[in-house]
Amino acid sequence: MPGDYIQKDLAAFFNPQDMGSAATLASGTINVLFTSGYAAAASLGIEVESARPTAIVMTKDITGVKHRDQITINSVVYYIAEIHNDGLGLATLVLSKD
Amino acid sequence: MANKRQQIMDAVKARLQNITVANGYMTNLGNNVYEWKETAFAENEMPGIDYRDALCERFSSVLNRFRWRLSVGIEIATQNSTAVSDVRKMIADVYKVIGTDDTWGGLAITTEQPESDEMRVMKEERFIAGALIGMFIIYETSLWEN
Repeated sequence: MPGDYIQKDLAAFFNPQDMGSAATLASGTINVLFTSGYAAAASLGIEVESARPTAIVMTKDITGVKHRDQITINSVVYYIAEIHNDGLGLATLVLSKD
Repeated sequence: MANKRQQIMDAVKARLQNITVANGYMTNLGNNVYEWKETAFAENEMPGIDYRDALCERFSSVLNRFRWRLSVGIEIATQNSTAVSDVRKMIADVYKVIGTDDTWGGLAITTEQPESDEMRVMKEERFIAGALIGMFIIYETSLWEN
């Protein structure tokens, strides 16, 4: 099928030996690209230090995953707040500790 | 001796620091009280209060006595899964603590009940909730004093 090579090659980018991280879902362990950069939360003049943890995943690995499911990355338990599907085989999970 | 406005703001700080469960309030908001906080609230600074006296307007004068309306903004911030309900409790605690003595130990004439408060909920790594409360402290000074 055209484009299959993309799916096959994608896995290399998620390798935990390189840039990837192992993440545990209820359905098992998958590899993700995890980031958690600083993100100040500000509104009404109230400003709070925070972070915006996200995990890029291969959509084939998150079949059946839904909002509020737990995902554990680097021993930290997160809840999936948003699922941004790019339609090309990847999705970005926006994560929250609450 | 400090000027009247400084004395009032010192009293505001001391009063807000009374907000603890041990003192009969619903929250321990008084454990983290900041004046004119210039940096974002860190995790270990919440729940916390930041208060500011940004505006002071003279609104009447009689026989060289000047009456001032000091606007004090109180910001509340907290974070966790119960942040929204926690902030509602904190707002109630702030109102309650102000109401224990609206003359601030006799420094002011009165404190006007806030006409409104405003809540915000933000979502980043955690649920973050905050609120803004504005109160007006009415006090009096002599000519060219504040």
